[in-house]
Amino acid sequence: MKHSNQTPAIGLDVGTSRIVAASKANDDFQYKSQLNAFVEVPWSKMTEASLKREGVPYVVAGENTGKMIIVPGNESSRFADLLQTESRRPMNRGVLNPSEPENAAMLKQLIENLTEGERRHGLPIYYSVPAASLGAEENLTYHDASIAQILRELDCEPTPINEGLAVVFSELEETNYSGIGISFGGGLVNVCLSYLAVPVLSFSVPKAGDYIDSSAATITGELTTRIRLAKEESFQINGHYADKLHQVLNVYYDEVIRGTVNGLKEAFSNSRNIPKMGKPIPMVLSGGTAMPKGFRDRFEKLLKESEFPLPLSEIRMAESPLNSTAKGALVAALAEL
Amino acid sequence: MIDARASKIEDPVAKLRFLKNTEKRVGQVETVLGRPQYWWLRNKKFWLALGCLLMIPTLSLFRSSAPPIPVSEMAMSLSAGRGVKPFREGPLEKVWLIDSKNGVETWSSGLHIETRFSTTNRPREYYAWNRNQPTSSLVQLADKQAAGIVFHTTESTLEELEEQKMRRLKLLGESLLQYVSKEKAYHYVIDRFGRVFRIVKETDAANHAGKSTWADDKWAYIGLNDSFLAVSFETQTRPGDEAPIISQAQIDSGKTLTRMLRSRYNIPAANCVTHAQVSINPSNFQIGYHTDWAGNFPFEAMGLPDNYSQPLASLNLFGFNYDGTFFAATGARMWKGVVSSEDLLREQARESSISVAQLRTQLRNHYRRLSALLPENNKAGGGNPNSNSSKAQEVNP
Repeated sequence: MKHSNQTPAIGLDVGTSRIVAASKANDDFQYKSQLNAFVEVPWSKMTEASLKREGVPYVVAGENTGKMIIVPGNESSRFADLLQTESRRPMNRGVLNPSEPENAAMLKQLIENLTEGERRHGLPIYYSVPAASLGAEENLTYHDASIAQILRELDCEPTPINEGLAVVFSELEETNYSGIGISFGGGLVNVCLSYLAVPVLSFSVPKAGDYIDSSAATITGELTTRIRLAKEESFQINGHYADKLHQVLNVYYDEVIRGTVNGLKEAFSNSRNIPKMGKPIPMVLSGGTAMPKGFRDRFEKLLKESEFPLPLSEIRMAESPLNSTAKGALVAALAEL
Repeated sequence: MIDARASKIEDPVAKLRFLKNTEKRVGQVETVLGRPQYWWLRNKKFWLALGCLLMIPTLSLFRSSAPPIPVSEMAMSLSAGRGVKPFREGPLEKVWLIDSKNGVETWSSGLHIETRFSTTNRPREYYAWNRNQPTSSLVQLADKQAAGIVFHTTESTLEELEEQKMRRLKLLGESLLQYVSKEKAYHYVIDRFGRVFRIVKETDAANHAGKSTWADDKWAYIGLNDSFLAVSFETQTRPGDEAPIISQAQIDSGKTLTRMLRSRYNIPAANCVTHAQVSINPSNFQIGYHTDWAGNFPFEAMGLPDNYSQPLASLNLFGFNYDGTFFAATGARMWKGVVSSEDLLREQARESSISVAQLRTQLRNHYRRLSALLPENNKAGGGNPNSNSSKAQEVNP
């Protein structure tokens, strides 16, 4: 029998900052990711020629005088830095950015690029959706339906999955999918407590990576794009500051961690569904915002100080923090096949 | 137990599949975690007990003096969700014709209907499916009275509503009325000045809804040209979240006309809906082929509940879906209905232990079977669409 190398499904992490697609070929998980951002500049022959020369993927939109060059995805950050402009974001705070008119079109373009070569009619795609913010009854239906619509237009069969639960499916197989998954993303921090793969409690906290970037940009006068690059390249949370930027980042990281810890304590203390687990459960941290060195230690310290009501067996980083949501979404999709 | 068995499964996907498919797990989860906060919403025994409890005052002659709320409206207020004021209305007053002369009918409610563009069409004959008997076929309803109202927009050329543009406004209105009369397009048109014109006789079908479907508590209607009356406002569609172009005079007349029609034909409020809510395209199983009044129809001003909150029969009974066009045209209000339809669909899939996609396929096949029985699709025979039997008559495939 001839085995097909085609992935039976795709897991899609539709994050504010990045979109990650997970697929499976020959028993291996594979990942592709793109920055969920784009840069738009007026078209000129010279600009187009230089993009071509640099091998930067781009799209030309509009006609005549309104002609624009759009650079989507990974290259947008570099290009924005080059042009001293801010990149535009299809999403904000975990959902479609209402002030970005091209939100759905750009998101479609990015997803199309990421799933190129894998898509086929009816391909199951499980895509991540955020949970409602603590204390708020946000309507996430529009966001959810928009992503579903984009995927349907790409001829796929979409199913949403809670982002925190996806982290659990990716990382907590050893405890039979019991534990707490936390995804520290760009727009939101998503939390899910799962017991035997059943999501018992999930919520999001609205202060996350973008809050750090924009706050630090306001203080330092730098572009958020540049802050993001600096954060990813050299930053670590250890209480020692190499320069002003690092000092500012430390302050805002602390605020985000404290916000999440307070949210966790509040949610688990107020919930009528406080689990009576027979044994301590693990907590796993994932997402790009959790990547800097020292993040886990700082988080653990603040959580211990908060007298968190559930007994925890460990607090650990996800094996691959940037890919865990997409992987979990794919595991959920494969389990339904 | 489940935990121990799952621990023996090495493959993460197989383990998750095992956990998801183990129904006992639900019981175990409830034991360990305590019951979910709203377990009683899903518990049939609880509702049965509550039902019995509520019947006691009735049996003991402790009857409430207030008239009972019709089931359809109760269901509607439930489906409307949080934040929506429940709709209650007293009995509709009787309305009768006072006078008819010089091409104008005057009704007891103060409504004036101009009849100079009035025309006839084929007599109303329609079929419906009893949704409470899922295995039943289409039946021809005996009374032939209209079951509901569909609100439309004429999509005709509009001029600014200003006194100095009177001639042009009148010209546009007249040509519109001539056109819709020729096309037998609606039962009523309400022009820019709020004047009400009868186009097709109420006892006849009008060519207004095309492929369409709607359902109330009991009946699901397929093809509303015959089963529903059409009231069209001389205006153009605006995207669902934008303010509609409609004059106060049109709203006032629309309200009076709606009450007159509801009173005469005993039409439940839940069956007064917009074209966007009922329009479908069976060739690709998408809803919203027409998107007039997709989110900004002034239901409340018409003396109706916010019927946008109602589930769409096309989605939850017949497995239709929606596309980008529908998405772009509709507003937040309409999405309440879409969301509640999808909730019902998911619930039904869960109860039947099948995926939503599988359920949708089943529902689509059911729609195909039912619509194939309609006289226009079934000219070769099967049933007698022209029957005047006084009882509901089943159409045999």
